[in-house]
Amino acid sequence: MFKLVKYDLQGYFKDFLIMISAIVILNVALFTRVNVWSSGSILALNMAIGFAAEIIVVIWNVKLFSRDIREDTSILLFTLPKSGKNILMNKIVTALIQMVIVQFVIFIFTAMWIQIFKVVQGGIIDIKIPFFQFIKSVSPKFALFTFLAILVIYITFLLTIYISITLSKVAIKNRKFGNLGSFAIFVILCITQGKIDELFSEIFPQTFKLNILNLDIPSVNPNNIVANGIDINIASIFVSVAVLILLFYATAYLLENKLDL
Amino acid sequence: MDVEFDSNIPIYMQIIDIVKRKIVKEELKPGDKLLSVREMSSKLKVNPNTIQRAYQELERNDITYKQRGMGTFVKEDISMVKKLKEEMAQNIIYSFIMGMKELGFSSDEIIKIVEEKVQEGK
Amino acid sequence: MEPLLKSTDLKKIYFRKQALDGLNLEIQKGKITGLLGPNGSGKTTFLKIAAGILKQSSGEILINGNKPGTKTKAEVSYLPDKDYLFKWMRIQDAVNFFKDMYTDFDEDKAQDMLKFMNLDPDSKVKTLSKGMSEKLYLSLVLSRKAKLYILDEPLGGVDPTTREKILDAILENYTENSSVLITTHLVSDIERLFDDVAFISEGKIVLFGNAEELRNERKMSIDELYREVFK
Repeated sequence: MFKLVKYDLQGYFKDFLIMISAIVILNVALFTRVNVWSSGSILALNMAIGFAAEIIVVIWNVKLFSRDIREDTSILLFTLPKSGKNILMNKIVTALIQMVIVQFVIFIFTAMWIQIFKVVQGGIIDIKIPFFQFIKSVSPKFALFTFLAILVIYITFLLTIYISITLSKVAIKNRKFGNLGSFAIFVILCITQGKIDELFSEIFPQTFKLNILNLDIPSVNPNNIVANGIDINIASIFVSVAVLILLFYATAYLLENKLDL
Repeated sequence: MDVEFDSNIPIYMQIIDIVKRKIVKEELKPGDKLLSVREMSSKLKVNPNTIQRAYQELERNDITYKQRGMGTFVKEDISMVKKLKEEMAQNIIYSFIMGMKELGFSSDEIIKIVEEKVQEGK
Repeated sequence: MEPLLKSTDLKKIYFRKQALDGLNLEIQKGKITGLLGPNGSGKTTFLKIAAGILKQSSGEILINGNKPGTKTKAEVSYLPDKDYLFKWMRIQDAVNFFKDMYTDFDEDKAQDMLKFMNLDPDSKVKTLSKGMSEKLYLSLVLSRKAKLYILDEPLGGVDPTTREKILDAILENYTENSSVLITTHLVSDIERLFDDVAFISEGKIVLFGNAEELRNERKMSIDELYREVFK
């Protein structure tokens, strides 16, 4: 079922090695600057490295799909006896795996730096509580919700890009305008999604409260940061998931039935 | 054997010819097994169905016979071989005589030339 | 007998050009058919539709009774005339890929063919010459036990020795249960392989028949007939 993932990841193996080595080497270089540069600038640089890496992974995630639609390798992919849904699913899973691996590496280094600076200096971030205690103090519901939200948002983002690329290949016959077309479609879709969300939130303003902090832990000062939790619009959640499902099926349908290579 | 076929004439006919020739020259003796359709097809780089058609013709003309599961064999019939030899000779002779007559040679001249040339060839 | 491939009044317009203009063709099981025509006659367009990577504008095409889709892709083995493998692959990766993706792939046969073609499994696909690539793709395509093999210009741009090997491979692979559709404009090299030939011009079949019968009737080779038809 997910055999394509194996091959796509294999194809990116070299890129992964380079990326991870770069992150490691750059952070090690930063390490030599510990007492030379301020902790603020080092942390900032570390975040810049992470940010750059993330941008690159997003580019990989997009290329993963666009390359197999625009180039001759599309023939290899689309003569396989696999449904559009299957192919799309494989691409998304590969993209997520790429993102998770790189995020993990970034996270390790950022966490490392934060711990170091907590020890060395009083911490340049406004939170006075130690890093890991911070994690424990977050309510599990919030953590889960955030995780799922990020997942849904990112997959929707990817699917919006994918469907833009697919639509431009299906509808725009002039190769030169292909990229421009995808971009235009992408922008239109993003605006549309925003508008739909706004609309539904207006029609159904009901929300539910989600506590950010785990109130069971005694050390947490309820007056700290966002004490009361945040309001989440219920309709928003349903709309987001519905949009994701819609995008997935629409893209899969186009891939299987409307693609002319 | 990379045989050059004359693609103007149906290939199956040329294959029949090749087999007949081999039989007459005793490269294929009565009772010998012919190459299988597949082997022949591979060797001559010809479509197997074409080979099949040739083999069928040969069977129909009683030159070969098929034994179920074993293959196609040359008929153990010396008179058949003789007849083939004569038939093929006839064709060559006929073409020769026609060709010579077309060039203007008379029957006597033809016979004389043939005698000379055969003697020389010895 | 139901034909393995049946195309009825197939039409395709793209880039404002009528690439296929009512193409009718039937391919029977166990036959090697040649689709002959000059560049631009619609050969590749037709093959792509049969392979399921292009959709027709109108008309019908059935492969083993099915419209092109996931089912037919499992029964059709297509050799395009482009470099279509992932650029990062070595030959062995390509073999593994086919093995993983196609249940009808015969790995032993593939390995044998690679040896026969003198291809090293460790070499990178992007370093192969045109001739070697062609031999590789053919080995992969023919190692599937498909019902219909579609070969787009398998002899294009290869030297005579490679050509011989390719013709050998196609013949070796022949079975009564499968069919082969080959397009080419190098007719004389390959005409001995054909059962049937179809001449395509401007998106239509202008002549179709059994190769041997055509030779008999017209007293010329298929190559000469090709020149006649397309002069």
